[in-house]
Amino acid sequence: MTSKELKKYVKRYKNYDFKDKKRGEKIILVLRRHWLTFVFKFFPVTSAMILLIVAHFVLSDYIANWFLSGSKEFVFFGETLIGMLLWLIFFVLWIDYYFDAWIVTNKRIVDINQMGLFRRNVSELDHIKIQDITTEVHGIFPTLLDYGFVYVQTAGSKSRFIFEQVPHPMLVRQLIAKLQKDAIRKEEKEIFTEKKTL
Amino acid sequence: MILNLALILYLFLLLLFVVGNIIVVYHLLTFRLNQVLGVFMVGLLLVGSIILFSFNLFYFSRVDWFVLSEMIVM
Repeated sequence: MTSKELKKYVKRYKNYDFKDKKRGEKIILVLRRHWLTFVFKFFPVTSAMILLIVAHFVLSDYIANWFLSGSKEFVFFGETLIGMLLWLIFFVLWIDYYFDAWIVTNKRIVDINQMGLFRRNVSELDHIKIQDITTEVHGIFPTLLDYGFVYVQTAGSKSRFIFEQVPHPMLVRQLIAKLQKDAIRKEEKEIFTEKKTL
Repeated sequence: MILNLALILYLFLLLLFVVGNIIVVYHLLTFRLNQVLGVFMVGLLLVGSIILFSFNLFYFSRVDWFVLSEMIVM
């Protein structure tokens, strides 16, 4: 990971913002779970929506004639009601997926964990406190599509930061390692100049 | 009796839908990570919800509820 590549990342997330962003802090990477996990999560709702649409065209006449003596309006009413609930569930699931994010800035890592609609955990870790970074790619799909876990061992209050099912875990590890080295170098430089002035 | 119960259930579902929409919109607008996408999703949610809700109300007004309830009781 070179400085040039780092700058490219910073440029990509220039318009991104988050709560408690510090002055002079630049977002380098915003990570979410891989899109395949999103597909798995949405599969039941999406298939229910497709089934509803198919049923509307194929089965609504049959249901209306067989059970309701031709009251098609009631069938359509039921379909739209189910559609409304599925539409809402889709967005609730999307929030659950999209709001789970890991933000790597030039100063720290922020872990946002959204659980349902009413629970959100946010923890942060300065690069200087990172002790060890491990990646894990496990399974057929993760190996083929290059996504997996990144474990960041820390010296902070939260002993382990876990980036779950993120794309390109090796690259993420390299990037965090570089940021950690930069932070250590910076601190050593500051200590050195302090000693010099004393 | 059945009609009353059905109406209460329907009103409860509508309330759930409206409250759910408000909560989702609140979440999307307060999560500032990518506001463009947030606003787009709010638009998508509201447009979809309004279309579905209008269809639902339209068919609700078209159903002959009394005939239907008698049919179900029989």
